[in-house]
Amino acid sequence: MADNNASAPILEVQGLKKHYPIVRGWRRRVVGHTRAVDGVTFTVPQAHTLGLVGESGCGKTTTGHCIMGGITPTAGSIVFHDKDLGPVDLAKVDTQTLRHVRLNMQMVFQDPSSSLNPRMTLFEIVGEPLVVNRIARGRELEHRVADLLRVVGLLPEHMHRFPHAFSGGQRQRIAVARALAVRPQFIVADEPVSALDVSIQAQTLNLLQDLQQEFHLSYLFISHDLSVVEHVSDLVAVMYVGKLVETAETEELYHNPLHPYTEALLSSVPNPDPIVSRKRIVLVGEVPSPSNPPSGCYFHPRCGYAQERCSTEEPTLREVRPGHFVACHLADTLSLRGVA
Amino acid sequence: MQQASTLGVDGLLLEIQGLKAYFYTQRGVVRAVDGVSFDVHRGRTLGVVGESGCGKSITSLSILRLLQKPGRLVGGKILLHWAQEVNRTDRVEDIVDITALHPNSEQMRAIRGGQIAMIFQEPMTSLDAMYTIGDQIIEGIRYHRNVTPKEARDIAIDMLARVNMPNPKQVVDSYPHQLSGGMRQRAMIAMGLSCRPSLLIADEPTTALDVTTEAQILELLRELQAEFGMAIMYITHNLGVVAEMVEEAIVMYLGKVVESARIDALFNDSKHPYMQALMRSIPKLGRKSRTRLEAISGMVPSPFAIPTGCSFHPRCPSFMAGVCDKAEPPVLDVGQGHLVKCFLYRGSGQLAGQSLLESV
Repeated sequence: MADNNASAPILEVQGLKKHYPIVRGWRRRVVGHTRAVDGVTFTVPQAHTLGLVGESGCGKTTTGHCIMGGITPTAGSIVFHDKDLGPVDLAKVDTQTLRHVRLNMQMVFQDPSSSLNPRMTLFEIVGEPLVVNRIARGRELEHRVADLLRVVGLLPEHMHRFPHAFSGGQRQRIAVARALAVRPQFIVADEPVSALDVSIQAQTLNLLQDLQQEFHLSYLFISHDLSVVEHVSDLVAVMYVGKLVETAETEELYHNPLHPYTEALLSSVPNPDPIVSRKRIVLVGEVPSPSNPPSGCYFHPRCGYAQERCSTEEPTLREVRPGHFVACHLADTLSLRGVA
Repeated sequence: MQQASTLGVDGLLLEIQGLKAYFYTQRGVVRAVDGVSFDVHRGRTLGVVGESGCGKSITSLSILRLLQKPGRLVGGKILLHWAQEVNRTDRVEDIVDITALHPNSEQMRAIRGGQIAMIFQEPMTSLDAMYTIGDQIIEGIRYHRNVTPKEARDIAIDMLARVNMPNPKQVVDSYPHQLSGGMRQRAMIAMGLSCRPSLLIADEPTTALDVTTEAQILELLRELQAEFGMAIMYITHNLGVVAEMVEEAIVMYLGKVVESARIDALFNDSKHPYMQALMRSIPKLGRKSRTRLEAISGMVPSPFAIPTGCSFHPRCPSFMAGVCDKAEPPVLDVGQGHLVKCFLYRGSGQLAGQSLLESV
């Protein structure tokens, strides 16, 4: 990959919020808000991968959908550096521009058996973005689809088959081919390998990496699997109950975590080595609900290092080391354990 | 069918010998489980490792006789060493062949849930949404144990408390949708253990859960095993979980056991090319990122077209033409009970005994 710091950003997310109102009664009175995403700020550099990690319900998928324009954010800006139009704020953009920008950003979903229409052939699925955007038709369309299938390692002869004829790994390749059809700069990959078998995961991860090099793609890689995220990402952002708690370069974050939640996450991952027995930090309790989060630092009820201050004062994301941001009052005093 | 003996000195609990479960479909016969043999010992944990379609879940359903049509048990034996208390001091052990029982017979129903319990992967679909957690736990307790409804309810609350469920008295009257994923899995475990089974089959119990919840559940299973002393058959595809949870493991590929060993031997000195490739293909925490993974080429073959000879040969890096695709490899003992089903090891060890992984 290109070196880490010099690269220009492709996507800058500033203070992104998505709040869902909670309504009661026949008058649909608003009694509160579910803060699914609550002030998230990060930058994806060009031709790099940002890994977004967190447990289910932490708002990582909502963040991805806000970026793609599937959900209108409550507040914040999403600046995408389009190769033709320059920086565009997706939160304020008009439909016409959005339609153009979407050609440069695409999405790959988690479960390929539900993200592909079972009644469409591969040719229709992969060709649809080209037809809808009037990029190609007729003979050329067929050539383009065949090329795309070849790029992701499928046989062009299978173009007229339906998704059910393919295995899980192959279906995810079809989804990747569809995303690549319009030659995007940026892809949001939402748990692209979690539904796949272990031996197929490696193939898909390698494919995503090869495509990144070939087409200079930037990825927002959303996953709950810390080993996979470590493998594919240049930068990692850790999310907890709608907020970012830590962001840093991958190696820095995994070896020197500064947030107790990151430390706990890393120690929870089962290690495929029976000899190394580590002292595991087992968190007590459950992830709080974003509609009724705890006071102060959202993590304090489960945190082993919590002090009085943590339950009253909310920490902000601050740069503790160069390029390493963390939202914890005690980041300077704690010495946390990363991966060995 | 039954023979009484004194309580097993070797601590054997379940012997599976050459088990075959086939599915007869219009497109042909699927040999989902094809000659699988292994032993489960009392109070120990056995891991069953494999990808989807390798037959690991069908094996566990066969043990409980829950296989549905068009699936059928076509061969092999499942011997359960059933210890029963005659009086205070004496226990006799019956050896029951589960394959010979009718799935609905009284004996099978006593075994299912009473002797062998199972927890499933997705707790939302395996719990009934229409009944409270308490109702579902009490049903099993009332069937298997001679207790009054009041006692059964107390047992259920006690079990929920033992799986570290917060507010067990309240949870017993809640419905599954009111609980989080981790709590539902705790309720499933409480249900499984409420009749004190001697074997708990855990079929990917943490796959649907987050890592921090997974860590909680794994810890809980270990504690409960120390307390109740049941054996656990832990089915998973997650090699990390296997390394942390089990003492011995079998590796399955396309309905056959390809390797079986103690866990340290399996991870540090794996013999079968499939297991070796699997180990190389997973990203490991703390490894340098941005390296290429060594993916296993190809994909799991269709169950209708299982390759001849060794079924792994089309994907195997050590494939020997004319050998691996011609005949099925024998099971070899490469030392200290480390069994491997591969031609690479011919001659380096002696043939394993008949009672072990029987090939066709």
